[in-house]
Amino acid sequence: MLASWLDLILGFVVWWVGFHFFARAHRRRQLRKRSQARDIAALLVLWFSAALITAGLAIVLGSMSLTWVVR
Amino acid sequence: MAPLTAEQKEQNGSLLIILMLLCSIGALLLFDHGVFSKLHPNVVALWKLRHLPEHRIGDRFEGPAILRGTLETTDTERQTPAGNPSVVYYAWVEDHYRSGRSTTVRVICNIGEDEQLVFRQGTSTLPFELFHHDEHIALVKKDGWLESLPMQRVAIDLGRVTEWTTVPPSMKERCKDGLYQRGTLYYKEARITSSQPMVVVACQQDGVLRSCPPGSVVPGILALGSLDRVLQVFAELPLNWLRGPALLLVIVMGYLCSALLKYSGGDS
Repeated sequence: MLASWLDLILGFVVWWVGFHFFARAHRRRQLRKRSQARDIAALLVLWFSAALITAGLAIVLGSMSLTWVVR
Repeated sequence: MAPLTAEQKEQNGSLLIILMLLCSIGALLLFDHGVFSKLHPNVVALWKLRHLPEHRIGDRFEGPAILRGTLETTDTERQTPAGNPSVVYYAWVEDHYRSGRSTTVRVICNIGEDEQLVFRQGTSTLPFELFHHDEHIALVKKDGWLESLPMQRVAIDLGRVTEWTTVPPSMKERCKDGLYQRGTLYYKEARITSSQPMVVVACQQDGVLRSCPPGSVVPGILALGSLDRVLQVFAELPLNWLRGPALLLVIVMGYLCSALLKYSGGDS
């Protein structure tokens, strides 16, 4: 059996870290928008965390599709 | 040592962010390489391998096909160094020794007999030359749960690998370079007998079962019972290409995002 449980855990950790930073950066952008201040750092964090969320999903989907192919 | 000034602290923060940014880009590129260069082509190749046609001896086919039968040898009766009867066998000696905090394993001697084989289906036979032309072969050893094999090798799965802590005398004789041990020696062997059902993926050329030419989905497979285990170790390779970079990605990007938010005013 493929180590699917490992991919689920790894995918979840990567996704959770990405989601955590995405939420923090989004909240900070909302706060700074009110005071009409620019926030380049939060924008960068938003993009990087989006990449992390995508990576987490890619691991889970990749593992699932390979398990399905070799089942 | 004098404490850092505010300006120096700011410079250090900027340097850290630049370093993390470069590492993150590197990890992202590595992850993309895993997805597009390893995962996608391997999924396609495994799908093709799963749907190869099954043929019998006497069918006209050239391309890779699955055949089920048994293997025999035209040679005299073969025995492994441990004295077990076999048709095909591979035997090797591993040296397990401590290196710092970890245990290192090195193979110090390996031998095998896989020549003069015949593939049998009922009363029909066909010469079997899957690994006779300098093909790169790889044995599924099942000594790790993330064990992987590249699909460009002739994969051989002979089932359970048996292990002894004493090296048979005939193995010691055949290891010409000697068994210079640094730790504990383990003798291991994988073998099949003529009565065991085998599954073969091969091409047929001039009435001989051979490895498939470059460009085929796999050069060849010899597996005991079914292809499942071989397919699983093939599938582990692209997944390991995702797991490693993803771990790197989450560490460096976690640091980068944390540093970016911290050095640009925190959460407020």
